[in-house]
Amino acid sequence: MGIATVCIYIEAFRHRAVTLQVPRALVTRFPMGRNLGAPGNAAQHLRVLRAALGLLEHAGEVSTVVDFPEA
Amino acid sequence: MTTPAPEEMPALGLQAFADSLYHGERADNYFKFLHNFPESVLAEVLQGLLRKVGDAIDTGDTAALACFVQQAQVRAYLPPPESGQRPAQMLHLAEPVPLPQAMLSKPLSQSRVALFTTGAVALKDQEPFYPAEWSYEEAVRQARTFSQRDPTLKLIPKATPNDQLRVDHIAYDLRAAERDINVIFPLEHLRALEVAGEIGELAPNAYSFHGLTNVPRLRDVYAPAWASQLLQEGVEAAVLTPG
Repeated sequence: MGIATVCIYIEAFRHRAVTLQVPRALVTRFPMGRNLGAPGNAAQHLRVLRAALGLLEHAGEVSTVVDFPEA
Repeated sequence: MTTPAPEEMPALGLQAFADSLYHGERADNYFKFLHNFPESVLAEVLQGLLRKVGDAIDTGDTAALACFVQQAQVRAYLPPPESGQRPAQMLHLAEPVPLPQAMLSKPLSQSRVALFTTGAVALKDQEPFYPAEWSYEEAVRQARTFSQRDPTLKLIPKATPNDQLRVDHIAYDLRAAERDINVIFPLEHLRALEVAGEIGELAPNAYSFHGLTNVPRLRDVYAPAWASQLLQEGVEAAVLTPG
């Protein structure tokens, strides 16, 4: 039971996700305040969102931190 | 508190200038990370930035400039001592708390998913996340008081269009979110994924609070209560932004 979570982190705070051992984190290479990418780039936002949702389905039972490859 | 006119501001050294970006008289949430660098590193970073600006002007290509700024921000927030800079301000807890780890019990395409943000997103007719008697600029300068404030949770109905939303957060640069709130609050995109069947159902509400808050109270009082609320509303999974 409980609520399965995934957090979309920016790279500047990746170390916090690791230290806190969050259940699932997708780390993007965008600046603060732009976690899913640039304004207006809906295709990029959806790629980030789908990658994060994928962790909900496929990540295991230990803390998982995955780097999103796009910049 | 009003911003002094430029001619009224005292002469600044480089470090004092960077410090003024950090919720000070020249508050700039995009570049406040410069405050974390010692002066020698700060000079190097600013010189590199100016070089990239020149290149961007010549070529019309801002990708390298964007990458430089993003990597400088990463460097600024690295925890000491590897960063070789003044300690960045970090969120300190008394001791690490093991985080509960729930698993989906069924496919995502059959699950109720909620969007939960610390980005201080609100409906346009809701009260701001900072005292109503303050302007936003004043709230930015009062950043240090926010760690004493209890968090407030706002509910945003799932069908809310983007033009009915605003952001109030006082500690990150809001310009991108004001242009396109999907950059930190992808409710619109989650609605599309619900229609496409990629998620089973979007929760009736999205949830939002101001992440700069009294963290022990959040951890010990509010987060458990909010989690119970989400469970009662049938939420099975949550996408959390921004981290």
